[in-house]
Amino acid sequence: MGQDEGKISRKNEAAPPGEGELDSKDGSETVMIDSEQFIRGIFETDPRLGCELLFRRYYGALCSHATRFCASRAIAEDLVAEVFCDLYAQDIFKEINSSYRSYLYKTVRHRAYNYLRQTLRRDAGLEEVAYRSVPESQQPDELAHYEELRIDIEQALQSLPLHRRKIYLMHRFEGKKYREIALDLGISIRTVEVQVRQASHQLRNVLKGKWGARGEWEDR
Amino acid sequence: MVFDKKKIYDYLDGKMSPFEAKQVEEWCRDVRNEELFYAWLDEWERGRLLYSADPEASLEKYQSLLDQAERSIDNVALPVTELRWIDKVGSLFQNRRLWAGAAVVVVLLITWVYFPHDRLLIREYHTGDHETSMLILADGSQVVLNANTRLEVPRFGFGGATRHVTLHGEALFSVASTQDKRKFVVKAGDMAEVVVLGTEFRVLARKDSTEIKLNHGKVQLLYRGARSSSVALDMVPGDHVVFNSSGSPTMKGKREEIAVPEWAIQKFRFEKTSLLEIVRLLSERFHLEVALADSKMEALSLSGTYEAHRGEELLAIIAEVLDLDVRSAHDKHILVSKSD
Repeated sequence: MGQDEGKISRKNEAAPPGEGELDSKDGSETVMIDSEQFIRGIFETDPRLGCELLFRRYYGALCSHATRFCASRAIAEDLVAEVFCDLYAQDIFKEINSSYRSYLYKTVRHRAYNYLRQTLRRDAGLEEVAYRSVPESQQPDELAHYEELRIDIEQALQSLPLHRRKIYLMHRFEGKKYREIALDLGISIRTVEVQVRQASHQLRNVLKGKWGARGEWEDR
Repeated sequence: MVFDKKKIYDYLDGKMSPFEAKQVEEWCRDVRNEELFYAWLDEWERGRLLYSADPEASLEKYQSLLDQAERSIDNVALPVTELRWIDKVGSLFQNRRLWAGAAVVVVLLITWVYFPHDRLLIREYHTGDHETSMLILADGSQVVLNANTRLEVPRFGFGGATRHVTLHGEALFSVASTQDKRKFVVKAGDMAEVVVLGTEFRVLARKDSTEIKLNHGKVQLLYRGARSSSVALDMVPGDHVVFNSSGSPTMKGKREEIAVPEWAIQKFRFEKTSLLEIVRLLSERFHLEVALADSKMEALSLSGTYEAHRGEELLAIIAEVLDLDVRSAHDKHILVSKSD
């Protein structure tokens, strides 16, 4: 299985920086079998470098993955950065028994999931683009919940009329200001405002019932 | 069932039947398969990135955050204008045998230290309307936030040299005392700061009012007095200080124990729940580590609804109901049967 993993990472389209770029500290050859073995070794002597290497390798893919839950690049990036910060500042890297990859994906998913549910529960608009930490709460263990949420979000977005979806995503996903959008599309700022609010409202309606309510695994 | 990459891709694309999807769940319960799942998820994601984050810019930003982290860990000094020694506060802890006793308390009159307000240097916790939330901070302190409240905690260095948080809204704090008696400071909006040591107190910091109520222990309240100089006011349990809009305080309330506000109380409902599961709950929800003196106790079960706002409280209630004793040392607790 270790070999399999190694093969997988080399085949990636948007591949992380090639392993050849990473020098081992004492200049000796390092033959990589497991794609993370090298990084794990680095953590023993230089955890900060270890975190940076992990960041380099996984940040992009994690951000993209997080946006599937938050629909906002800014929020996803803050969320992922927070995970990487905690990894170092709270010495979490010492306790990771699985691959860093699994830990990172799991943690990002947990937080994105939590974040979205909190947002829905708080009656906050889904047009905000600022990230706020969410207190850790009990997590569902089932994978299905994450996949379901992700797909529900995708479908909810698809259900928006084309023009509205476009405007909404320009604002929420890309983080463009109303004025920029108005200029780009040749419409009034007022129209942009209205469309974004309607989209946010529509999305909330679709998602809140299922994802904004308290789950059975939470406090009664 | 065995799943290969193609099947997992189908799963991720939402093309699997619910029945098969359930099987993927089962399959992932094995740690090795879970690893494979994430390996393929990573690859799947990289093959269809929604966008490309700029790697160099992000890395630079991350590096400066790590720099901050390193600096905070070494940074001990706060600007100090006056040092005062306060006498023995050991008595504080006599009815709180769960916490280590303190000998001497050092209280600093502080001019406020701000972390540069980069949104990533401060971690914000926040509740909306009709919502309360409980958090456990890195040092083990428990905070229950009432609705429409925002708590700011520095991302780095918290629990290290200093424990400073800023509150806008209302919260109930149960502060953990630390080995070296590090003070815990709550900046209540703009009006005042509360400097505490191992106590339970409530802070209300909203635009139109600032109030501090002390339940247990002792705090020192710092605020700007008439001539803009800092004033310190010692509070004892039962004290309740209210600030009017111009910042002058009034002491209210008799010296009696103030009840925990209703919104801070959490209900736990058990239905023949085993003690083993309850111990797990204490660990996950309150970060309270409880061991059982005898493994036979695991099977003991509890039913009913219990209310508590702190882990230690819930533990005490459970012990009482099950007729057990709690032995505590530092932050470890053991449940033992009464005859021991």
